[in-house]
Amino acid sequence: MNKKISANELRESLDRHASYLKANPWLAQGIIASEMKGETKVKRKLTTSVIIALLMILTLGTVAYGVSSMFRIVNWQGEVTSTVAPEEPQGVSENEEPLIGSLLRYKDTVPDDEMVRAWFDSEDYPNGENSTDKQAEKHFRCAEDFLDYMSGVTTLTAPARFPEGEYEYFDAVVTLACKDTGKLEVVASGDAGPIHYIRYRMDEADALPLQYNVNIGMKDGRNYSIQSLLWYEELPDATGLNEGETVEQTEARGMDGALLIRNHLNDSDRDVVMVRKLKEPVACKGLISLDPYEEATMKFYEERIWIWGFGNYDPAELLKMFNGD
Amino acid sequence: MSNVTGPDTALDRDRIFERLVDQYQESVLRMCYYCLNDKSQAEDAAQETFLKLYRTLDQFRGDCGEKTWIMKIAIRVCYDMNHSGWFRFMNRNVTPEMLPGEAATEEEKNDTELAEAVMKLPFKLREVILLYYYQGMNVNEIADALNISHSSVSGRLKRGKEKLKNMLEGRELDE
Repeated sequence: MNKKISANELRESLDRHASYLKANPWLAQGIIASEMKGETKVKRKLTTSVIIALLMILTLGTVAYGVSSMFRIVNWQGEVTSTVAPEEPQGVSENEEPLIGSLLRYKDTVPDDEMVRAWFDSEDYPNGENSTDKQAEKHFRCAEDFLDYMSGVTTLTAPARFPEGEYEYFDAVVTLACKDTGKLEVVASGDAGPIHYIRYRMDEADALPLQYNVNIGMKDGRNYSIQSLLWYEELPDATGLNEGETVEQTEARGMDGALLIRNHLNDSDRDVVMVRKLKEPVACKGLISLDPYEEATMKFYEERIWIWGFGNYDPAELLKMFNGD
Repeated sequence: MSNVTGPDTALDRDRIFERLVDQYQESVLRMCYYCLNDKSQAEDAAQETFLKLYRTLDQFRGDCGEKTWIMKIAIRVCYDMNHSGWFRFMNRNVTPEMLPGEAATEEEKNDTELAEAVMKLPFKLREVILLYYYQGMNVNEIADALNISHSSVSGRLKRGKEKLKNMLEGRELDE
């Protein structure tokens, strides 16, 4: 077949196909009213994809987050806002599984002071691609060094102190992006097997801490994980709860919201989730491609912190790390 | 085409804004949908586009058409949403299941096939194809809206058409 498609034909076809999308008759008035009241932004809907992304982060990247009939989403007051379970994220085909493995392995070979955008062309979807980014990282093996470094960081909140006792291990990683006013230098680009990549470096002065992960193992069997990250959108919802989990509102120093989550099916696992609204959005450069047009800015509006505790410990200890008492 | 040339009073400003929302909302919503492959995100993007438009209404001096100006904002909003760091690893490719409704008639099947092909284009090519063929903008206007050279627009149009032709079994877009 060699039929030509005119612009009109394409336009009509796309219009018909998207005709179910309806304009919001109150949009103009809503925006005018919200701007007159001085609201900083019109409230956004919580989309399924946002919930999925949030849950993926909550579970440290684990996709199998165990959606059950008891699934609930709660706000910062601990009130249930939805019981609708999120859809499972789209799976990866058998064709692409090894490629994703290669992509992640390639990412691991990049030196800590470099950033990379890596991707492969999708076999399943012609002209599609799967990509991943890695920002620069700073690693710490000693709690004092980490706290010393974090004392100069304004974008993220560090614990006031760590649990007392003898440590078996301490491991902290701070993820660093390039300030939007900084300069990203391309140090290499090319192919590694099926993986295409572009690697960047920045001046240390342009580094902007976006996230940290701390893992602590104590000799008495207590273990703690703390994750803080900047979130690109202000969300009214705090977290998802699975069967057996209950939540209570609590307070944490410097935070705008904090919840203590208890897991009644597994008594040794309790979590804290906290939020801090940023006074001004934090902006950094996105790792996109060599095309200057694509050098998008990423903006973040709040900091979210999770603390997990495992082993025989006092749940109040989780909050004490940040409250410092 | 009517143009905004900078409102004089707050009342003028609101009237102009209401007209622009009324005139372009559906078009922006559909454009965002085809850019983002997601109805909810498209609604968010359209809302964000008009919020930005309202905030920058005073800055418009008529040096490009109002449609070019609005589409420029919409494309930037979609671009930022599409490249939000935390979604980068999420596969946003379109599958037939993600498309609304089930094609029944030949016309609907054709519509679905075309829409699916356009949404499978890489973002850079898709936005140019949509602006040129769907929004009826010319190469100059697209170059202005995307802040890229005329030759980049032409190159992306050519590559986009070629990719569409491959996906549509030889059927190609007319000039």
